Amino acid sequence: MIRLENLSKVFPGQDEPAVDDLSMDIYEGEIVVLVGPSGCGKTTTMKMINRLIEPSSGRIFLQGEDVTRVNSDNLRRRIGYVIQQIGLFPHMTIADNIATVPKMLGWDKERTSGRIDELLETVGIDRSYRDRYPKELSGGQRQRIGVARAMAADPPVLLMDEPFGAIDPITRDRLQDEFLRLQREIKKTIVFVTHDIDEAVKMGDRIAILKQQSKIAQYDTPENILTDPADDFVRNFIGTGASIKRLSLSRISEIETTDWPVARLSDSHDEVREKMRSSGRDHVLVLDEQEKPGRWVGKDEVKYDTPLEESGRPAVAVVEATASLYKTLDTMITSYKGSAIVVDEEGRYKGVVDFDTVLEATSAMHSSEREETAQDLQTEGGGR
Amino acid sequence: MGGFLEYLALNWDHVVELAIGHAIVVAISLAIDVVIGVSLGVLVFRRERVAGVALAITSTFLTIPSFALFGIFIPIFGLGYPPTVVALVMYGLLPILRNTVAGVRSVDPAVAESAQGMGMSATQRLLRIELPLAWPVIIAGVRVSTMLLMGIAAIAAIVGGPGLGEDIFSGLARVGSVTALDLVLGGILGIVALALIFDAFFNVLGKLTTSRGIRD
Repeated sequence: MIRLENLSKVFPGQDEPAVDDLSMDIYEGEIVVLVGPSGCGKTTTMKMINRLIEPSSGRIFLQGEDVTRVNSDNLRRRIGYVIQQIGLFPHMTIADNIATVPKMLGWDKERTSGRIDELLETVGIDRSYRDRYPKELSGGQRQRIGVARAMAADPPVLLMDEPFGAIDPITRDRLQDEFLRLQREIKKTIVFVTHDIDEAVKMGDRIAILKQQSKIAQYDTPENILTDPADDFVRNFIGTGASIKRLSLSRISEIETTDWPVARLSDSHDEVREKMRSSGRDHVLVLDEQEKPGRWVGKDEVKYDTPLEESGRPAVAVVEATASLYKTLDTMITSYKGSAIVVDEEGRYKGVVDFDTVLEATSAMHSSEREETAQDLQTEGGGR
Repeated sequence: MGGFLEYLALNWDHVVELAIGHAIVVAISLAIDVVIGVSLGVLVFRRERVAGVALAITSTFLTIPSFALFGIFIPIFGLGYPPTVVALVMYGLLPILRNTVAGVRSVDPAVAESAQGMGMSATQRLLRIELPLAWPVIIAGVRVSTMLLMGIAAIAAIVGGPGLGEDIFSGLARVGSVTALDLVLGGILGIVALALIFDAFFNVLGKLTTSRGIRD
């Protein structure tokens, strides 16, 4: 979709190139994150794609077409652009801001207006905001309008330069989630620049970790980068806690849950005791009528004078099957028995995970990826 | 003071006629200043050194004593409107030019970058983004020029220019006579009144032509 070929940039008056002989391919529909320390040339690289910065040498291909020399204004109208400060036009209404590119492309009023409504809905902003001005919006809302404006003429490619950089952490997290959900529908090809490795891991289908002069240290999926950093530079850049970050990429639904004895509120005390005995566990999980986890009841807590719904302890460490292993682990640590109960979207019981399960799953992850890499190396070696 | 009011009542038509002439010559000069000042500002604002030169030259205009400048222009432009307008245009240029440059430069770089990133050409950026955003600052410059020109236009009377300067000069020429003070006072008050009217006009115009999104 986007191909950069031997791209270099030397700024006038500087001896060292800011970007040195960079080649990379970006496939259709993927989010590629350019990440690296400040001054590594990641923003320069991105701005060469829409030629806000003209490359000194090398070529840029967009959808197979060499765009290195085409009219840059026309090129930019085909590429959405979102920057950290967003840069909404303060003297124009939200509707006029969004309509910027459609107007330049000569869309008629009706089509533009329809598109504005559609986009406002997509980014979750009420239509009543059409005639408001940017200063009347919160930071998060402005950011959404910035995205809507960039998508106005439905460009196949979006360039985003630290789009969530200037937003408070809580809103940022929400906007990132929203954007990922949106991307699943719109499937744009996105080049995303950030200096934050956690954001890169979260947002990227693939991550390019860049050294000085935009030299690629590693260009791979977040999973592979975290489990198998290419060199010390990447390892240092990821920093401590790579394994923990890796956990945020896997969901519980991907691992086996432990078999655990469950009981119903309607079960008799004898039945409960029998279940414990036959499973060899000293606790059962009691479910309520809707299959929702109710209480943990221990061996010594099954007494004839207490009904099941009052025995033991309430089951609080509950996570949805879509939660990441990171979140699950966090829940487990604070739970009573060091295990978390997995439920579906409706809150119905699906299984239990404990520390051992997660540990097994992570070591399996590491060894399988190591094997894949080993195989890759072998096939590469054999091909030569 | 009673004498002055009586004088005004008797000479009202005459004073009003001079005031109209004064307003017209100032308005013409201002209009030319806006055209030249804004275009020049737009041409130079990206070039630090050229902008410096343009501002230095227009500042120099302001230091030339008006009495002398009007005088020099008689052999070149003759009498009446031409020398008056040329001199006034020179005096009114600096505030408008300076504010245009400052206004366009004060546009948030992020706004300019996103405009460029969306594929707006340099002309589109100027007309749709930079000038509208600089407009309140430019209008403020126009208001300063107005005040300046109102006063200086009085001097135009020495080259036979139109305006209230005529009464001021004829009053000053016959100091000691009964009507001298009334003539001078009439001219001054007329100019002050005109200045206030013009300022109020530009104030309202500025509000009406500035987007609600950038009004305070």
